[in-house]
Amino acid sequence: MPSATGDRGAEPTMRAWKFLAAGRVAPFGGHTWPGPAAGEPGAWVRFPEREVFACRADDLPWWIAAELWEVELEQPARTLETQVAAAAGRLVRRMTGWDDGAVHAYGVACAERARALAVEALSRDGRTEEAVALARARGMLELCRVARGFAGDARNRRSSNLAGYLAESSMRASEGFAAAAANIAANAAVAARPDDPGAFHRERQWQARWIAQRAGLVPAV
Amino acid sequence: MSAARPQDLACRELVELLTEFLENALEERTRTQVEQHLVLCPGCTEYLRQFRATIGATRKLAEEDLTEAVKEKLLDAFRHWRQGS
Amino acid sequence: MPAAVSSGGSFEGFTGAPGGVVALLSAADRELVDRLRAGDERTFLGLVEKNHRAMVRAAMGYVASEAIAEEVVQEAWVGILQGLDKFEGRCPLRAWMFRILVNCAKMRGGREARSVPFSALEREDGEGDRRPVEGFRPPDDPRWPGHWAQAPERWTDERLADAQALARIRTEIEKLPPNQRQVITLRDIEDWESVEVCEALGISEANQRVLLHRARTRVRQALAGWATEGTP
Repeated sequence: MPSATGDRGAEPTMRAWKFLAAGRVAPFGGHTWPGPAAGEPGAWVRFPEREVFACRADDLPWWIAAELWEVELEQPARTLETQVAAAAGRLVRRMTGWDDGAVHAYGVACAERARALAVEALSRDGRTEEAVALARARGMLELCRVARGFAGDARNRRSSNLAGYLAESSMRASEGFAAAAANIAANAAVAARPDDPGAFHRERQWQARWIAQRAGLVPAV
Repeated sequence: MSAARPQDLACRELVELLTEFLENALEERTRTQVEQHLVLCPGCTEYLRQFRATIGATRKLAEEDLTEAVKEKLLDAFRHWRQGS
Repeated sequence: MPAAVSSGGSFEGFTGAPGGVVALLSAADRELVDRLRAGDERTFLGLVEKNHRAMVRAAMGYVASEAIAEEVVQEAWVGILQGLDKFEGRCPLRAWMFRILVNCAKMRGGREARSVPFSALEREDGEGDRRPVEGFRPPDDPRWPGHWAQAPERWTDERLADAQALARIRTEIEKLPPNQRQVITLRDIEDWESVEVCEALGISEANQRVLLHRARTRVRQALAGWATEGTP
């Protein structure tokens, strides 16, 4: 069970971001984080044998969930590949710009990126009518249906694959599985630029910026 | 294993790690990979839910009480043993 | 991470050895043994209540029926009592008890073994156990090798709510190879700590986890409505 400690006072802390499931619930630990009250941050959370994890702005696409919070972490914080870890943390404020609508819009935005890649690839492969059909499709479901039809052409593997990714990404976006849609789109970026080792990372950065803008994050870290 | 993104776990690998995951027996790097994958994979998220639910349901097989008959028999054995030593 | 053994008392000694941890007799267990030796019936009954059912299930892995398993366990209790005076406390009480039980069961099992030879059952601990039937995409899939070919269908709350589900779980556990059955019984039904199970069955932590995982995977599969007959 998490335990609360008193205010950290003069100890150094850092700010970061944290995604939680609805109700301030930790997505993997299952415990509920104490929320801010009466204008004060939530109580400090510290576990006997586990650290507290949070995101820097670049890490956000990896941890998408229903609620986004600004958190304060006790220093020193450990830097990991896609998160930071600290001995204790507390919730400072909820980023209300990140709500269910934002999650859904995020998924759609990522699928739209996949659409652009698929249209470009189909055009390049001379599959002009199919490119136009994809460009014209409205809504995620129609996009999925149309793209799926173009994914099977074995003579043009690359554009077919991108159509396949698009079908999958738009399906996930329509279902509300935004993180899945985003991951598929990032994989599509790799497939579209096979000679570019930075393609995945760049797509993730695009996604991070989208999230930051939509959620109204000010670079706090 | 995935050709597209070198560091993402494939679902087939993840399902094999779940018992260790639930016991916090994975080393940090692998645990992080599992968590990251769960975020982006509804299929594995559902599978983990089912795995946990299975464990919870299995617990219900524990019966509550021994029969009196069995208790009496064993008490007899106990008394017999005490008398013998 | 230290775990409580048997009656949940604090550990007296828990040494870490290169191959793993060696648990010693806890203070609570030592007191328990002393009380038994002094003829304390309530202590004995308490011990019985905590362990008898797990012992019956464990014995069922070796003999043909629950009725015979019940007899085996009663023989084991006698053996345990008779061995108490010589018990040196170099291992947890439960581990020692279970070793006696397993010996009784094996001896009895030799005389009244199940019709399927154990070698055949042991062979089921192979690769075929491991994969959920929903299936994964092959290594040459263009976009998602190793990912779900067919994602698991969402379970509604009703699926696990009724007696049918428990019956299915029970049946599936009974069909498991003996060592998988032992582990899932002790861990998931009887709620033993991992360390206790390792000691009682004489297996390593890693081995125990593999067995538990395979057992759970098969039980989950049964609940998902897929037939499992040990075929890949």
